[in-house]
Amino acid sequence: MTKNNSRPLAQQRRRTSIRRRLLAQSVVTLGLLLLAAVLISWQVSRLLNATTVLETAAERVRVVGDVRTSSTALLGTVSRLVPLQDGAVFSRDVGAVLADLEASQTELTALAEAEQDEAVSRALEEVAARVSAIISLSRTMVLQAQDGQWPSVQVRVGVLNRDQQQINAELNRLVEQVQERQQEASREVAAARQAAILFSGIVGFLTILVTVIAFVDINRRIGGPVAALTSGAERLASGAFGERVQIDSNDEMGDLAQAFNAMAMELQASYGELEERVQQRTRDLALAAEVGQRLSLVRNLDELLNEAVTRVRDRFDLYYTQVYLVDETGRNLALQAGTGSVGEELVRRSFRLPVDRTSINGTAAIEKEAVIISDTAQSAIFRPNVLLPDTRSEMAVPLLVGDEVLGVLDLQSNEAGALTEEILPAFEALAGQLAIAVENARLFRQGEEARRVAAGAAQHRIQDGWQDYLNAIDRQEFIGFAYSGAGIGPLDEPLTVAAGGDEETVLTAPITLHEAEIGAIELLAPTDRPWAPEQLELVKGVADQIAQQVENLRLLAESQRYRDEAEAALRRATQAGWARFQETAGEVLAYSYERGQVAPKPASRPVLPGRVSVPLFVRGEPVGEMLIPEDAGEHKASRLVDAIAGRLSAHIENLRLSQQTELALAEAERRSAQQTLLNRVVSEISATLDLRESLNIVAKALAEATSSDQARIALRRPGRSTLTVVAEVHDPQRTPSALGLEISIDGNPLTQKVIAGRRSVLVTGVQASPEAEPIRDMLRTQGIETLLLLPIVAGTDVIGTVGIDLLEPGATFTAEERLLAESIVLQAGTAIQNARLFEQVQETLAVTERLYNASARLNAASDLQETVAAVAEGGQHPAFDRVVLFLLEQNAEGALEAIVSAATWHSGKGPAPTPVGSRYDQDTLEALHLVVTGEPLFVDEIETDERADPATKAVFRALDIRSLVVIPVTARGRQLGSLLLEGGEVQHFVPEEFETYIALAGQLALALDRQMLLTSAQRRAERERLINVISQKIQTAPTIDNAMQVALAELGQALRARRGYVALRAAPGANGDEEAVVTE
Amino acid sequence: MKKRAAYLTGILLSLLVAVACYAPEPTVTPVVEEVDTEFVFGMVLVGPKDDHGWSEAHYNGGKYIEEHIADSRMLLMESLNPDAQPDKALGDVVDDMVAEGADMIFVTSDDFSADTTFTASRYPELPIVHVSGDHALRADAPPNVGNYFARMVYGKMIAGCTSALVTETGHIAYVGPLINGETRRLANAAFLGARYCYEEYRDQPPESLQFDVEWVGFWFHIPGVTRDPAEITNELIDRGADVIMSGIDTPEPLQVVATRAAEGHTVWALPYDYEDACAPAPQVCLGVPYFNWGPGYLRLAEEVISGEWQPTWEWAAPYWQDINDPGRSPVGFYRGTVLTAEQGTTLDAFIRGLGNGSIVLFRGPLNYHNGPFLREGEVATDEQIWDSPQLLEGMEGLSD
Repeated sequence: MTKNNSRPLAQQRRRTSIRRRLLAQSVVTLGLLLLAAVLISWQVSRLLNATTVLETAAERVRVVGDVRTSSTALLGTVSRLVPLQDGAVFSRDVGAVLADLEASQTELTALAEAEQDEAVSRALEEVAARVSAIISLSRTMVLQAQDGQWPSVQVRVGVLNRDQQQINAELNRLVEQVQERQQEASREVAAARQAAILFSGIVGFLTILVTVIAFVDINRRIGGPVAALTSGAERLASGAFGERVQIDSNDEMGDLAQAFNAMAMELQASYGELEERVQQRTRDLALAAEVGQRLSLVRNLDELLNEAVTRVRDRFDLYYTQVYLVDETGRNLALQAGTGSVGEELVRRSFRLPVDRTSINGTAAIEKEAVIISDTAQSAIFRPNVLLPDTRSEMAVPLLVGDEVLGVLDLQSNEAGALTEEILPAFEALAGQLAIAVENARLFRQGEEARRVAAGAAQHRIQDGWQDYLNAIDRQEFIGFAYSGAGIGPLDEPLTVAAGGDEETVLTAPITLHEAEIGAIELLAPTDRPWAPEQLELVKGVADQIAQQVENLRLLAESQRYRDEAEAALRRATQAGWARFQETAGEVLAYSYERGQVAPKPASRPVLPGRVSVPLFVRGEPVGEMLIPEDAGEHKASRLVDAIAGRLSAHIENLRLSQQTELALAEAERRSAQQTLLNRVVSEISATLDLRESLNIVAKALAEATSSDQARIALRRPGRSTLTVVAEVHDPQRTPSALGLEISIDGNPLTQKVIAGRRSVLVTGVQASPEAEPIRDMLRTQGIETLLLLPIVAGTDVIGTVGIDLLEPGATFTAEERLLAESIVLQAGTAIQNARLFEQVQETLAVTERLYNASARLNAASDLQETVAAVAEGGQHPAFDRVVLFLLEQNAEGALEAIVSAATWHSGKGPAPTPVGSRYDQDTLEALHLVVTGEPLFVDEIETDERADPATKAVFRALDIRSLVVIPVTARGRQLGSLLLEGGEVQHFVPEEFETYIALAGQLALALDRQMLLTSAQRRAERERLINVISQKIQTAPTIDNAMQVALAELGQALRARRGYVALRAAPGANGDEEAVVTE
Repeated sequence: MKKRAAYLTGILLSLLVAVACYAPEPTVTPVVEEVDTEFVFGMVLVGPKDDHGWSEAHYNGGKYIEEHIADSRMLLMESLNPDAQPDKALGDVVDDMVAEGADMIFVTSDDFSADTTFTASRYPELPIVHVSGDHALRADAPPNVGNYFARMVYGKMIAGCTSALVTETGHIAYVGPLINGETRRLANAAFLGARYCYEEYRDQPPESLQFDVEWVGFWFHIPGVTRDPAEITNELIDRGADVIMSGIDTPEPLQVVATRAAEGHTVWALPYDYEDACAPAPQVCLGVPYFNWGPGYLRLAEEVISGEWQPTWEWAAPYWQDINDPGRSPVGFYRGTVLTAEQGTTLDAFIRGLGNGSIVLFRGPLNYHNGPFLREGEVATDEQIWDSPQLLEGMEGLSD
C-alpha cells in the first residue's frame, strides 16, 4: 500500500473554494477599476491644465484686444484733433481716451507679471513698454497742446503713428503666440479626451472579461450542484425520503450536498417514527370510536356502563376499568361499573369517593381535566388499591357534558407508561361519548316518566271538553256541507283536511273563535287557474265572519271609512285646483243669459227665487251652478239640463286647465321678452351679437368717453385666477397689442383691490406705484402712466376688469370721465353677463315650455295610453319612435317576478312597439334588472353593451331595438315600473337631453300611483261589500247549519268555485278523533 | 558622525544666542553733520551730447560751469526726445535729478516748453532755466522758471550775408527745423542779412535774390516721422540753390553739400549751433553761427549759488568787440576757411555795422507773407522780432 492510497480520495484532491474564487475575482476587478480611476484622473488633470491654459489665453487675447482698441482710439482722436489746434478740446478728448489706454496698460502689466511663459511674458512686457511710451508721449502732447506747441505735438503724432504700427505688429505676434498656446491646449484636450475614452474602454473591457470568466466558472461550480440539490429537495418534499444527492465537487457545494444527504437521512428516520405514532393514535381513536358507537346502542344506564368498562378494558387491553358517576349531592363519586370480579365486588359494596383532591378520580372531577399517572412507582398522589395490586399506570378522565361533570372514567394498566398524554385524546373522545350516552340515558329515563304523567292528564281534559260541546247542542257526530255548481248538500263523511290535496287547488281556511279553531272551509279551485292570495283572504274573511260577527262588523265600518276618505281626498284635490283657478281668473266667474244675450254676472249674486239650481260637479266636487227658470224643470228638460251641466262641468275643467297652461306660457313669454330686451341693450351698445366685437366697441366707447389713449377689457374665466385681455383700443404705432395677455390676479394687489372692492381705482404715475409692482413690466411695455381700473360686475360677481390708460406723464381723468366710464362698464357688465346667460336661459325656457305642455296634457289624460303618449311626445327626442311603459310585477315578498307592458306609444314610423300586456319574466329576460334600475339607464348600443346578456340582446334584436333609454317610474320611494324609450338606431345619448322625460316620468308615476291606490281601494271596498252581503245572509240564518250553507253558497257564487266545503270540527285531539261537518 | 552632529548643533545654538542677544539692542548710528557744498546742476538735452550741433553746444556750456566752479557737478540727460525716449517725459527726468540733489536745472529745448512749466510747478524751490523759451516774458511761468537765450538773429544775419557774398546763382536755401516763432525769426534774420549784402556788396537788385526755406519738421531727423534733411538739401541743390544754410541741430546739410561738391557741384553750406560744425567738411563750409553758452550759464549758476538769481527773460546780445570771444560773447561766427580775404573784409564791415548800430536790418518797409510788418523807417521792437509770426515777403517757403 503506497502512501497516496492510504489517504481518502477527497483529501487527495486539492481543496477548492468558491468563496476564494469570488474574492480573487473581486480583487482583480477592483484593481482594474482602480487603474481606470488613476488613468482617468491623470487625463482629467491634463484636461484641467489645458482648460486653464485656454482660459488664460482667452484673457490675454481680450486684454490685447482692449489695448489695440484703446491705442487705436487714442491715435484716431489725436489725429482728428491736431488740425483743430484747440488746446482745451484736445486736452479733454485725448485725456478721456488716455484713461482707457491707461486701464488697459494696467491690465497688460498685471498680465505680464503673472505670465509664466517666458516668451509670452517678454512679448507682453514689450507691448506694455510701448504702450507706456504712447501714454507718456500723449501726456506731453496734452501739455504741449495746452501750451500751443502744435509743431511739437505734430511730431509726437508722427511718432505715435509710427509706434502704433509697431505695437500692432507686436500685438499680432503676441496673439499668434497665444493662439499657438491655445492650439497646443486644444490638442492636449483632444488627446486627454481620447486617452480617457481609450483607457476606460480597455479597462471596462477587461473588467467585463474578468467578470464573465468568473461568472462562467462560478456558474459551472454552483449551477449544476444547485440544480441537483433543488430537484433533490423537491423529491424530498414530495415524500421520497430515500432520495440522496450525488455531488462530486470538493468545495462548498460538496459540503452542502453532504449536509443535504444527512438531513434527508434524518428526515427519513423522523418521518418513519412519526408515521408509526400517527398510526398508533389512529388505532386508539378508531377503538374509542368503535366503543362509543357500540355504547350508543345501549339505553339502560347500568347496562351501558357495564358494557362500557368491559369494552374499554378489552379493546385497549387494560388491567382494570371503572366508571364513577357524581351522585345527587354532587359531593361524591359513586362507582357505577367496574370490570371483572373486582368491579362487581366494589359496586356491590357501593364504593364511593369524595369529590376532592384526595384521590386521582376526585381530582379529575374537580379539575374537569384528565389526571394521568403514567408510572405509579414514581407518583406521589397514587394510592394503591389492595384489590388491584398490578396497577402500574392509571388515568382518570372526567365525563363532561358542556361544563358539567357527570362522573369519571378510570383506566388502569399493569404496564408502566402504557397510559400517557399521547393516548389521552382517544380516551377523552371516548369519555365524551360516554358522558353524552350517560346524559342521554338519564334524560330518556326522565322523559319517559314525564310523558307518562302528561299523557294521562291531557287525555282526561280533551275528552271532558268535547263531551260538553256535543251534549250541549245535541248534534250528530259531525256537521258539514258540500257545495258543487248545482247546489248545497250535507257532507256525508268527515272532512279530510289537506289530506293528499294539492295545495294549489285546494284552499283551506280554519274557522277560529277566540283563537280556538272550531272548523274549516275547504274549496277546490276552478280548473283553469290556481287560487289567488286574494281569494284565500276572502275565504278567511268568510271563515272569520262565521266565527266572529263582531269582528266582521268592525271591519266593515273601517272599510267604509277608508272609502270615504279616498273619495274626499279626490274631491279636495279638485276643489283646491278650482280655488287656485278662481284666484287667478279674476272677478267674473258667472254669466247670465237673457234675451239672447250672455252677460257676466258677479259671482256673489244670491240665487233668485223661482229658479232651479243645477250644480256643476267635477269629480264629485261642486265647482259652480247653473240657474234655470223653474218652468224648464220638467222631466225631459231636466235631463237635458243635467246633460248640459255635465258637459259644461267637464268642459270648464278642461278650460281651466288650458287657461292655467296659457298663463304659464304667458309668463314664459314675458321672461323671454325681458331677455330679448336685455339683449337689445347689448345690441344698442354693440350693434352686433358677437361678444368680442361688442366688447371692442365698448372699449372704444370707453376710450372716447374718457379721451384716453387706450382701453382694454380683460375677462376672468370661471375658476381661473387670471384675467385675459379680450378687447382693446390702442394706437399700434405707440404700444404693442395686449390681446390675449394673461394678467395674474394672485400677487397683484391693484387688481385684487378692484375686484375685492368692486369699485374703480385710479392710479397716476402708476409705474412708480408700489401696488403696481407685479405688473410694472407690462405697464412699461405699454407705456402706461395713468391707469383707471374698473371692475366689470355682473350680478354679484366681478367677471373682469377694464383698464383705461393715459400715456402722457401727469395726465389724469376728470371725475366726470371716471363716472361716465363706470356707467358704461356697468352697462357692459350686464350686457356681457346677459349675453352669456341669454343662450342658457333660452334653452331652459324651451325645456320648461315643453315640460309644461306635456305636463298639462298628462294631467288631462284619461288613461295610461294617453299618459304615456303625453310623456313620449313631451320628451321630444327624435331618436325614439316607440315608448313602452312596463309595470313591475312583484310576488308576496316584494321580489321582482316579471314586467308587464301597460301602455305604449308609437310615432307611426318603423315597427310597432311591444304590445300591451306583454309579460317578461326572469327566464325570458335575464337582464330584467336593467329595467328595474332605479336610475335612468342609457344604452347607446344594445348589441355591444356589457350590461346585457345574449338572451336579452336576442329579445331586443327580435323587436328591432338597437338603443334604449330606461327611465324609472317611481312614486313615494317605490318603483312602480319603467318607461322604455326604444330606438331603432344606435345612438349617443346625452343624459341632459332626458331631463324632460325624467320630469314627466315623475308625474306619470304620481298619476299611476294615484290610479293604483284607487283600484286597490275599490277592490277592498268590493271585497268588504261581498263579505257584508254574505254576512247579512248568514245573520239571517236560523241555524248554524243554515248559516254555513249560506256562506258556502255565497262564496261559491262570488268566486265561481267548482266545489267547496265547509265543516266544523274539534281542535286536534291527542287521539286524532275528529268531529267535523263536511260538504261534498 | 556623532561628534560632527554635536559640533553643528553647537554652532547653530551659539548663532541663535548671538541673534537673540543682538536683536533687542538699539542701533546706534553716529550722526554726522555734513554740509552740502557741492553745486549740482542738471542739463537736459534734446539730442545726444555729441551731435556736432545744438546739444553739443549746450553740453559744452555745462562743462564750462564744471570747469569754472569748483565742487560742481553736471547731471546730464541727453536725447530726451520722442524718438529716442518716447516713454520719458521731462517730469521724470527732473524727478530723477532732484533725487540726485540737483540745485538747478537747464532745460535746453523749445520742445520742453510745456513740460517745463508743468514740471516746475512741482518743485517751486528749484531754479529752472529754460533756454529758448519765453514763459518768463509772458509771465505765465511758475516763479522758479527763468528764460535765457542768445540773440542768434545776428549770427543768422552774418550767415545770410556770407551766403550772399558767395552765391553765384543768386539762389540761397534755408533748411529749417519745425515752424515756430524762433525758427521763423532766424530764417527771417538770415534772409535780411543775405538781401542786404547781396544789394550792398554784390550790387545786385535785392529782388533778384532767391531765398528758399524748407522745413524738416523737427530739430533733427526722426525716421518715419520727419522729412529727411539730406533729401531736402539734395532737392534744394537740385532746384539751383548753391548755398545751403542749416537751421537744424544736426549736420546732414553740410554732409550732403560736401558730397554734392565732391560730385562736382559748386555748392556751399553753413551749418549751425556748434563752433566746430565745419570740421567734417571745411572745403565746402562757409562758416558757422554758433552759440557759446558757457559764460552765460556760468553767470546764472553763480547767481543761483549766491542766491541772487532772479527768474527773468534774458536775450543776451553778442560781444561786439569780439563776437568770437569765448569768455564773453554768447553768439559767435566761425568764418569758413574757403572765404576769400576780400569776402572776409566785407563781412567784417558788415559785422561792425551791426555792432555799432549803423546797420539795422529789421527796419521798414518790411512785409510778412500775409501782410505788412514794418512801415517805412520803422524799427522792430525785440518782442516783434521774437514773435515773428510769418516769413518775410521775398522768402519762398511755408510760414506756418
